[in-house]
Amino acid sequence: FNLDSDKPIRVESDNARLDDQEGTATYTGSVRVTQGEALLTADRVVLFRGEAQSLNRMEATGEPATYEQPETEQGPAVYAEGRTIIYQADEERITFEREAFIRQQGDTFRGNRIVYDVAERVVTASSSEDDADDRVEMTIQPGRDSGNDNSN
Amino acid sequence: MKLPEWMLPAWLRDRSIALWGIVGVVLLGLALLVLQEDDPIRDTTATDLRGPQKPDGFVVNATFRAFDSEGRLKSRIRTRRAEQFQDENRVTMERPRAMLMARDGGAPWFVRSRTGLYRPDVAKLMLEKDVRARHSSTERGDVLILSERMTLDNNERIVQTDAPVTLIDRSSVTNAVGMTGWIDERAVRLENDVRSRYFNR
Repeated sequence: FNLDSDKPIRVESDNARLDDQEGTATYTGSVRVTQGEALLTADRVVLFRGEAQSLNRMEATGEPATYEQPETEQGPAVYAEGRTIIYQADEERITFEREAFIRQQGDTFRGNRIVYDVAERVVTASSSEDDADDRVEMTIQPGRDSGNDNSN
Repeated sequence: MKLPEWMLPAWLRDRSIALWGIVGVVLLGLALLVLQEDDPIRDTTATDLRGPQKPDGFVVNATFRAFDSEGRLKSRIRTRRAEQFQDENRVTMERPRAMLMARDGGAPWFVRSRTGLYRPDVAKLMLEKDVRARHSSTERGDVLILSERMTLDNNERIVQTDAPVTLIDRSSVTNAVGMTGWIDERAVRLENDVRSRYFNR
């Protein structure tokens, strides 16, 4: 999602609660958030407004919550999911947590936490600090330079 | 032009008889007019003012105010015309304009419509036709809520409808079906079929 874009962000859901005191809009029940071709689906999405009243943060939770972005001139198609998806506008970053998974051009990443840089299309995956068995799984399709992917 | 005396009939030559003759004719005409009138002349202003619904009481250009236990203004309703029907415990209102004060000194809600029905026993005002609720908050600025009907419940301190609603503020438009607004908590719940569009520019 690009919160600086002039394309509106559309949200559809079964119900919602708009809370002026907290500056949040909470959408629940079959939530779909779209902007252009990008699509996020979840059971619950909370939108946060910044000082200038525009959106600056989005938190989605689901079983799982999913995020899809089709191929564009800027880059390949991406599919990602996680129990929690957090989009932070000013950092142009989407964080997938808990059973996080990303697929991009045949490459797949699985881990407890995956950070996707929307502008650079760079994936950073990490395991859970408090679970020694938790590891990051990466599958890189041969024959392509995977220099822009890193994990720790 | 004055006729010569010889042309006038004898009874007209004497001025006093002529005068009495004219007075007589005028009185006769008036008598006929009065007799011809089958209904007595009645003042209809009161009936017209009361109106066809024949309310028990009515007020033109009325203002109703409600206060809380500490004497603070809780709500004010203005209307062009209010008609009260005692037996049915209802007051109908023409073009009501309500102001609902938020308890913590937050911005009030302003609600208006073309018609309204007030139930004094439960302190509910049911608004219909072109309902417009306006509410401003520091966070979102002015929020305008449009619907075809809405109920203001001053005891529960909520604004409620089961009809389609549209909420407009300076950076988003939201449509839904059914809404509950908490006057004092500055929050709104949208019940079904929610569709929002956020404009970031």
